[in-house]
Amino acid sequence: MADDRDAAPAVEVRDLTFRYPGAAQDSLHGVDLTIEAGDFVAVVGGNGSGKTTLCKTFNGLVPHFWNGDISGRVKVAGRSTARRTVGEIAHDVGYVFQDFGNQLVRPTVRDDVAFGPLNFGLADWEARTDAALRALEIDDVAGTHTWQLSGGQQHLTALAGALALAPSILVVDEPAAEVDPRRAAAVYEHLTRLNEQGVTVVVIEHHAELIARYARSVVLMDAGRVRWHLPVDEALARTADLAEAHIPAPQVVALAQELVPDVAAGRRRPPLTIEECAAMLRDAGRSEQPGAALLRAPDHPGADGSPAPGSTSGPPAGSDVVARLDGVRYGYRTISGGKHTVLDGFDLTLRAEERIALVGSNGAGKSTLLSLLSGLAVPEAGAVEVAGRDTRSVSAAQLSSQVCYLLQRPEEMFLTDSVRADVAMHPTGRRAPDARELVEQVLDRTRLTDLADRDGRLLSGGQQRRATLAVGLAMRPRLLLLDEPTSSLDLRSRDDVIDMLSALAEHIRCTVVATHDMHLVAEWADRVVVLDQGRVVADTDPATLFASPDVLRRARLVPPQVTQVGHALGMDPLPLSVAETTRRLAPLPTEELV
Amino acid sequence: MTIADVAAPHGTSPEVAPGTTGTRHRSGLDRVSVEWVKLELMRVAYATRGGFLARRDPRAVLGWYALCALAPWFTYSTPILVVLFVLALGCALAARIGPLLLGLFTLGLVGQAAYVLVLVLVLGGDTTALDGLLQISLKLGAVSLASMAAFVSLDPEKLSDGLQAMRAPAVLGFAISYGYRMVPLLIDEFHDIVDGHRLRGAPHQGHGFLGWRTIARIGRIAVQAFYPLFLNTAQRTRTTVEAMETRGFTSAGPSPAGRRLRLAYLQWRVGDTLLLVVSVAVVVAVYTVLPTP
Amino acid sequence: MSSDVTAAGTSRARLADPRTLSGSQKLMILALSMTLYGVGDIVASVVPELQVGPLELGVSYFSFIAVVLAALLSPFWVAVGAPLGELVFSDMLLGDFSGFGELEGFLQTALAIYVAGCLVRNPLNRVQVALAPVVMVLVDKISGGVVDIAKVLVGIDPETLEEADGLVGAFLLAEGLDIVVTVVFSGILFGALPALWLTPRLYGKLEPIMGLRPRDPEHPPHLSGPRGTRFWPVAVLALVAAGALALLAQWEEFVGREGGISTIGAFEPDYVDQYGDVWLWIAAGVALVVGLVLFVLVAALRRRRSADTADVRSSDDDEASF
Repeated sequence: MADDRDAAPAVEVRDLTFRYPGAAQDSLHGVDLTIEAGDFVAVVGGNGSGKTTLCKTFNGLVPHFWNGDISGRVKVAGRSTARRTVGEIAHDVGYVFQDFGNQLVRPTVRDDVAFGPLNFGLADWEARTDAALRALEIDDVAGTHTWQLSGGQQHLTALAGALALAPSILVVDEPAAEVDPRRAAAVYEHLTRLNEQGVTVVVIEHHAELIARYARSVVLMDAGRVRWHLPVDEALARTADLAEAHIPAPQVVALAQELVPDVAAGRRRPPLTIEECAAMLRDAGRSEQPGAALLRAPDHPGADGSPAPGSTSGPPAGSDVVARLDGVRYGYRTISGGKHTVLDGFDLTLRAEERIALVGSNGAGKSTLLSLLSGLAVPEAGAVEVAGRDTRSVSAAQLSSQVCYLLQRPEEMFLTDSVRADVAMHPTGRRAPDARELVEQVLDRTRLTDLADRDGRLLSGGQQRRATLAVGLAMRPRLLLLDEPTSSLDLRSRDDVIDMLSALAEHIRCTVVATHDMHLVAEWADRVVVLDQGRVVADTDPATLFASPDVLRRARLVPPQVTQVGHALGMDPLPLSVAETTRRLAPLPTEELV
Repeated sequence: MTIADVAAPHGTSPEVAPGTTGTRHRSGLDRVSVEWVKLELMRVAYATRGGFLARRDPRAVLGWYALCALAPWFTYSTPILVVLFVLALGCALAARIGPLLLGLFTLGLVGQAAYVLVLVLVLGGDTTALDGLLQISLKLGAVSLASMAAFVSLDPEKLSDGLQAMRAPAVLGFAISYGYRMVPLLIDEFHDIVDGHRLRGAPHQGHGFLGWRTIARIGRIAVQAFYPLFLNTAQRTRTTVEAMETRGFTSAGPSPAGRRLRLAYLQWRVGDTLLLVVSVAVVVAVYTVLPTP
Repeated sequence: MSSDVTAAGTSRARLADPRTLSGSQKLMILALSMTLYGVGDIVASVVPELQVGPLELGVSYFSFIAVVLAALLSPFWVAVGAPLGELVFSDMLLGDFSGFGELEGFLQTALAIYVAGCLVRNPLNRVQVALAPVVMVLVDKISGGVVDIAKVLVGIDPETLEEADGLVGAFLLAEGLDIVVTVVFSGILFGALPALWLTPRLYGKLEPIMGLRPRDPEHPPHLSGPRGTRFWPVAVLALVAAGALALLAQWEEFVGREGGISTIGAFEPDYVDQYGDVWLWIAAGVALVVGLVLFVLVAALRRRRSADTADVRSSDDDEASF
């Protein structure tokens, strides 16, 4: 980096207004923003607030790639982007897209990382490539084909590809959207290390917990404007602004605000980490009152005194069984001609009225299990029985009246040009006599009536998930299977989906969700099946799972913050939600706190 | 994408079908066929099986292909063509082409021969026609075998680098490597969408006369599945092209310096010269030693 | 359009004229049409076919994909991208790669798509959209047929030709039947009908995803050659090039047909002997010329592009506003 440019801010935006071609309103309006070199900035804001558009002005994609109407000025590392090409700016600004999978254009990891330096004709491209691979610790997979990588590794590859040009600014759009929490933390650790080496890091992020832990300042975008740019602790204290932007406060902040009067009154900085929060609660004299465990939320059946459901050896309770896997073996043929067995001798029984979360790291067999239950795949050995029928004896299409499988990527569920038509597809295809009423009823229940004539793809992330849920509901299944229903959602939409799943329980006999999202597990599930390398390593309720460190480590799971705080405070059983913790830690009315 | 997504379910094994009870048995074949084709495509594309051409410089392989593709056209001697065909077959096997390609090739050749044979019989043919038929089949076969041997041995990257080394437009090189990268993803997506139609659409209502209902249903689903595919692919493409722009690849291709660096690894070795010299020698030898009519 | 609604007093600039495509937009259209048409080609080969004698009652390609794209986006770049997809995805990946012969198919398909795409002035006009796939198939098949028939007429000694009325007749009949079948299946069933269904659904939805403005019926694309040259001379040149390449590549097909049809009584292998080599060399010569022309064109385009991008840097660039 040139010396004379060290002094300049990393990014300087002045009075920037931008409108996409053909759009009805400005996506950015009068934006002023200065990002100092060496900062670690989190850009937050609701859907459509202009976060991504703003970040794309940093590397010149706006307006050189998206040539809409623009006025104002953007200076990056001291130089205006107006008359430089995207390629030139790329030496200053590295960019990792939200759908990073499509950012990889070369077959192997090393090729892809070297793509930029080679295109620019940099003679030291090999050294740059190796350095980037080493910096992100993916040199051991350098020769692997990119489609063989896990989501987390793909993300790191995309990051390395941007790093290989040695930019002084790195922009990462939602690094935690599609990976499990532990991998998200790993990405952030890498970003932090780069930041310590002098790289300015800009992330677009929904997760207040990650912002609290890693960012130094926060930019709040609202309706195409920068509402404020503040140091992270000040920013997180403005919970009302954040909540408005669909960024609920981290659980540690919420807990402190509920239980520490100084924080609630704004006299004291809210805690940013588990340790701080636990210490603060201890200081405030909050510890579990005797008997308070009885105040646990009644909507968690596994904890209300009844025995934890669903150990695999449990007695099959006759008609209660919705689906059963019996000695199932299933494998894939791999590209090298070998065979990779995912499940072998696998037994599992799903019963009515269960809310089952299927957790485990990538490749543990979650998706395979779902496709076996849906009848799309049939086992090599053993039997899968759904609603009393062997999946081998009925076609997947016949089975679809009993089982509904909602894919992870909503856009693959939208087969027609309107949400209404997608929802109506199954009932009208099967000539259900009440199809019309059913569709309207389902749309109403999922609050989609107003959006029903739009294409599902054009909805926001949360609306898309609701629409896929509506598709599933209209099929009136006994067994509902969902693959990662909360991935890449902002937290408000995620809570929305969780609430909706809870509300649907009365219409569906059994729901199975494959997920990385521990909030979903904690707040919704009553039974957790932990898979690791095709085996069930635990089959229990959420509180028990979060109290089993071995299982958590093995399956790469990170419990929600509130549970971790509970652990630090020695609560038993572990709390699963902020509300529950508040109840249990609140002073009992008859006692006086010292 | 994980490895599991690009691999095929192992459901075709013979132990699945027998021994189970029920009115109808699904062996997973309905799904396997698509998966298998996809897997085989991926193998053709990426997992080069080795073979004598795999280690050669792509320019040498392209040159070898040009030679083999042209060689059969300068003669009408059946013995020469037979020898060339056998040589090409040998090369194809030595280049380890996969069963899908070999199967398609055989099927195509047999089908064509059968069709022409029927024509000849119906029209009351004579032997000269049969001779001509044999010749053309040999020529065609030799050329296809050579092209399969060549293009199986070149993975997409080597092929596009070889073409670029020979000054082909950069967009062609991009098209090839991008195409190979996208095909498995898109076939997967197409497959998921078709599955969606099967599960959620109107159920199958019998085959109809000559199976027209089935054909119409397949056709309709195949067309309707493209609606989401159009929009989803547009989204993918957008990110890809944006990302390529930020990484120095524009429609004009990489800079000249970049091109030189990328192609610097291509090295013409003794083996490459040897390959071409030997091939020319063999063709010349075949032409001179064997009798021409 | 939206530039008219700028807030008062603020100066608005648009860095590029929205009607001319930027390089990356061209690349995007190319990549999109390539992948979609390529996948369509793979799918088309999976859809079952009915074989009635020599006629294949089946879909040979999904013309609707190319036509819908060409009707919504820039016809020229779709016309380049779609046949490239066919070449890379189905021909190369499926191992059905015929080397030099691919170029002929490429030129014919590109021409057909370009003409069909320019025909659609308004993507919401049902007549235009329905006609386009049929036109595409016709242009593709007829240009191919003309090339084939030319080969027969030129390739056979006139004396033999006189003796063999049946030969040309049978040949014409075969070509004609092939065109009819292809128009019905690829032009209508898998062309016009799906295009009528898809185009209005995608119009105004696909373009914004890629940062493009939907086609304005007031300003439809016009048939034109590269860099504003007239279209038809270029098209004829392309056809001649296709024909020349075809002679090289489809030589075997020609001889193959002879082998089949010759039993009518007119086949003389001597002529093939006599003319075979000559033809090969003529074809090779024409191909060489075409190659040179293409090379010059590409070089000229490159120079032009580098001239476009090279601009004078000044110190106040670092302070420039939009």
